[in-house]
Amino acid sequence: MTLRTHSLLPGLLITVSILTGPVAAIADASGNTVHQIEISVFQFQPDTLDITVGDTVRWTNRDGIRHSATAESGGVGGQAFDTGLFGKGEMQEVTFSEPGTYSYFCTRHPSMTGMITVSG
Amino acid sequence: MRPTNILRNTVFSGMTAFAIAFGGTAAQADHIKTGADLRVAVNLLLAEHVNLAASATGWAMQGMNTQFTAAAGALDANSVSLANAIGLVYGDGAKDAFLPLWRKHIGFFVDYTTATATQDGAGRSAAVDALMGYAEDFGAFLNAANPNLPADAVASLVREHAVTLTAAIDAQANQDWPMAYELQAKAAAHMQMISDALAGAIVMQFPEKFGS
Repeated sequence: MTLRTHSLLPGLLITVSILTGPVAAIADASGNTVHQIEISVFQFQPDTLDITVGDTVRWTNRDGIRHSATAESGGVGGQAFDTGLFGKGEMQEVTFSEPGTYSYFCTRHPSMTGMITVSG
Repeated sequence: MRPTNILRNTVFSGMTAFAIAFGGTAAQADHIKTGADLRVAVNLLLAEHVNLAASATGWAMQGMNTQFTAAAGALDANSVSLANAIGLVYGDGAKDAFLPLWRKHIGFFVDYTTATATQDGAGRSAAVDALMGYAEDFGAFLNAANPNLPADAVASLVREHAVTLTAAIDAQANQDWPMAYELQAKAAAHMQMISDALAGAIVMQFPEKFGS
């Protein structure tokens, strides 16, 4: 599993979003699928996501406060992940290499929860 | 079990009972059709929030558990009504996000009350710190929902809410009831600053919905 941090920059992705509405998944330069989750008004949107092994999930924080996407311990998935807290306009990515069901939450706001199901 | 946990558990068991009893609060939100309706409703709910909170902490200070439980339950019904109002404007997702966030600050007031009652200075400081930190979260939440509400301004108002209500709680702890009610009235009156700002910003954001 890999974790990457980005600052949000205006670009093709934003342009596509404006033209077509929210984009659930895109292909990155390597052809890998990147699923997008917006963090907005203290919610993961969408809060449930089904992906396949090798896919990447990208969280983008639109709120003016830091949030995290942190896997709950003891989940079905074999891998833990924690983006750490990141601020408005920033993105974090996790690439999932193990199938499983990953429940996650924001460490600062534990009532914010989401679930990612990774199939083989 | 530590006193804090006993008090917290009592609060939340009361919350559950009253959340069930007040299951019809969504109907109340259906009556909010204009900006004036919204302003009145938010003012009533936020003033009620302070008065019920002060009622709960006052009973707690006197060790009146039955009365405290009832007041805590009524306070949570008020929280549910506030969440329903948020949901009316911003949808169920925002409602579901708002309610635990709002309840969180009530928990910090419970912590403050417990620490004050047990003369736990460190506990009081921790509760105040938590309330100050919460103000930042709440400001960010409302700003995310409505950019017309600057996060810093909202946070400042919430910090003032913490200051005014903890002052009333201190008077209750001192059994100075005339002062406690005077400070409670001030704390309730202060909520109008939040209510008016919130209602005004929502009307500005959705003039077609609440503009008349």
